Amino acid sequence: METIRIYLTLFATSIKARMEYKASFLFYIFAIMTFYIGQIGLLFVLLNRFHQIKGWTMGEMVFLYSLHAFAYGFTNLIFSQLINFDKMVVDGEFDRVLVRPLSPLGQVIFSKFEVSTAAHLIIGFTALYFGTHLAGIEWTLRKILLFPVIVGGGVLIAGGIRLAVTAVAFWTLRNRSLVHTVIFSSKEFINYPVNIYNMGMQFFLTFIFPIAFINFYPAHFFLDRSGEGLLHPALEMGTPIVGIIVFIVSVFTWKVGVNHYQSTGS
Amino acid sequence: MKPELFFKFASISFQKQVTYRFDCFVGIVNGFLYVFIFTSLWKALYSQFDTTVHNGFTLTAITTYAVLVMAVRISFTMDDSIIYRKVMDGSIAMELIRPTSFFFMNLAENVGHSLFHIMARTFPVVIISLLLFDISIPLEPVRLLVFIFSFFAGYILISMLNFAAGLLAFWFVEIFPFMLFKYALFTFFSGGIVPIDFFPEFLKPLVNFLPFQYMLYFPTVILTGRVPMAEVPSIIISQLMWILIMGVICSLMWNAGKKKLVIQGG
Amino acid sequence: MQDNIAIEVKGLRKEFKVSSSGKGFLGKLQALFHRGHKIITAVNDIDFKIRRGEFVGYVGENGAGKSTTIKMLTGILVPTSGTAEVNGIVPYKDRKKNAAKIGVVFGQRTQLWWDLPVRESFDLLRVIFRVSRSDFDRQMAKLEKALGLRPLLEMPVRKLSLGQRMRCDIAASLIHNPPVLFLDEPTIGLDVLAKQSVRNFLSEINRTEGTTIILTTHDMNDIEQLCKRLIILEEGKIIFDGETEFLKQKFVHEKVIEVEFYEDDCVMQGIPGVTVVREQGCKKWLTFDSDGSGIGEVIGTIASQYKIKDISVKEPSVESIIRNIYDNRIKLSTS
Repeated sequence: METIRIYLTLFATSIKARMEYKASFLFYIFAIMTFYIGQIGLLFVLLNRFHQIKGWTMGEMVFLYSLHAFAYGFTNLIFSQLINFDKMVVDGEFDRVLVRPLSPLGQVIFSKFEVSTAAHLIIGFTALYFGTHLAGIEWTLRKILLFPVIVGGGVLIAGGIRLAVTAVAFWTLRNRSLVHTVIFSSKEFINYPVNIYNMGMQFFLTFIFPIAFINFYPAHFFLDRSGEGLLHPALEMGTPIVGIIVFIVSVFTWKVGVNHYQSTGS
Repeated sequence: MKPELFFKFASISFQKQVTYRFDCFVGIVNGFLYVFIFTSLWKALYSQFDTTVHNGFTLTAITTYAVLVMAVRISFTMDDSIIYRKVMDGSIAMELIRPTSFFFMNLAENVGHSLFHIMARTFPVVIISLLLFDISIPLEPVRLLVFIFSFFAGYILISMLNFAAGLLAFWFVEIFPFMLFKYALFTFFSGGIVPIDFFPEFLKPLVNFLPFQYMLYFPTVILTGRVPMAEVPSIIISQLMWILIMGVICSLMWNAGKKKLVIQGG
Repeated sequence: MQDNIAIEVKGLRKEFKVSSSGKGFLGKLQALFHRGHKIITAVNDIDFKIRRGEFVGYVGENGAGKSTTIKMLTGILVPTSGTAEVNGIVPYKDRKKNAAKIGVVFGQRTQLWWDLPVRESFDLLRVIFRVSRSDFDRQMAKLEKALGLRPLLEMPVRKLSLGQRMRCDIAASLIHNPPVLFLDEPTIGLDVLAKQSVRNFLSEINRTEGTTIILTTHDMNDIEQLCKRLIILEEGKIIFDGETEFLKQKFVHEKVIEVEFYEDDCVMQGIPGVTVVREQGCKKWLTFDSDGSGIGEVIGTIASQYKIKDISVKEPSVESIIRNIYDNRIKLSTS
């Protein structure tokens, strides 16, 4: 309990620090939203011409997008400092973390507050609204209750991946381009239904780098779609379990990384 | 600026990049990832119809476009935070006492950066793509020559855009939102993902009003042969006009920034 | 470990694997595919004990292993072999427990939150180190007074000068009133006044609180003014461990006699065992052999033979002694 209270205080402090730059706050949110609107705009341009992508209509695509936006929004809220983690290692900032009587991971995670979450949530809700409307989703009680669970699982997947790739910095020091590829570029994969990719890639995105569980598989459940591609009906509900597995593996990787750092220094 | 000096700066910046071999390999994966996603996307879209030509592109033509536009884009990768960092740590003041043009020094640094990207990323990505996808590039020497010219023009345009965006650091504490905003517009309007030909009519005036299509779309379509040779001169004239306009904007901003630096001491 | 021992180090060793990359354009390009490795020993089987309340200077050239030792004692690094105990705790095994009982100041990096007022950082550290409100208030009152923090508390850290920031950083490391304090280059980059105020404070808490302090520094004035005991490291090995005063005594022949003669008697003939190291008109600086006559005799000889306008004896500075040790001009026979 005491530990939780300490982390909350740490987090509250990082929010205060972020709020020192209020002016850029709103513009930042505006810029992120422009980016996402641009992305959805390109989807619109394509669907305007081609009507659907492998059986996915505009409304369904927008719903896919909303699941994605929610998951990444919350992931950014919690795991944002990990993006610049290599800098902490290179600058020796991580030494500072190690001389405090708290878990290094907890300190790193709660040392930064990311405002982009607000933008993601706005995009998420807007996309959810239009997706529901365009695709005619029927919200049963079961669906409503499971929605946050699926988003939570998505956060564990996206956050776990972030954690694992961050830990690579313990070995390579500078890993910006890896972080960029794995965290940002890979998001591009699930902007589209993953059944557009060949079987090998579908397998990869399902079992090895399981980001397809963030939106593609659970979307089938919410949209009442029947399976396609590699999909087995059981995968529809796989998100929370996959999330937990990914997260456990990542925390383990991180711990191994910290041990490596403690034996080699920087 | 003397050419020797230009090459010296470019070479230093090139060597800086080579130091991180890990980043180098990841960079190839990152570039190929985008190529893979978009070629898959086009294949999925085209497979839904019996028609083989959409908006003037066959599947081979659009695949070629997807690969080459990404190749051009990767070649154009530059560190757009250099100026921001120089303003923040005050080293920008050094630029005022140097006898060289800041813009050209910055360009030299970018060229070194890009030269590295062309060798270490563009070529590998293009070679892998040539092996994996159905691509056809017209091998006409004249076309290749005008492409190189248009490519450089596009490169200078992007450098100027980044330069101007970086100079905003004189007036704003945080310029990341501007960078993101710039990136959002660039991603949408440059044709980097969806070629301009697919844009609906109502967006065309806006696309034509902005400089972004001259950075990626036009150099790429000159290379793929989508544009008849007869139209090439007018495209290059437009590129040069935009360089002129951007050049005026850059020098106005740089002078205003210098004045601000001299008066307020940063 | 006995109660009066704060730090005990036995056979402590740390090896690093470093990669060597080529030079120049082609070398760098080649390094993309192949890279050589070699093992360096940063800390080479060192032993020492530090008693409670000691103020120890830990010096050596860059790369001698100072920071590596400090990192092992603070739990940042795990040693390759050997053992270390701080307050009876093994730092690299019980990192958190150790962290709660030590204070650490890294000269080049602040532990304060850059964008926030200093007070916020202190409050947060209070929570992190689980210090009760009343203990915190008492400790803060002391620190505020001794370090003159009051006018700084509401300022954001990014607006502080280096000296102000260092004072705040030292206060931050003492919020939980740790019995052992590690200072890594605390005076680096500070101006003379700021250095002095930091030194005064450190010597005060060492005296009044009995805080054990281990200080690494390149500034020998820090050592001379603060550290009763000195540990000198060279290439990972301890080459001197003893009283700073002892070092000065041992190298007393490094004392310099500064003599000014009257103009009409300016030419000094050679006196056995005495060397002129510098001269400027009628002012001369002399050194003398240690195995020859004592300093009194030397001065006596000069005074009896020449007319002296002024004479004074300059103590050897720790700086010059250590410089000479590094340069191998002095051999340390015993330690």
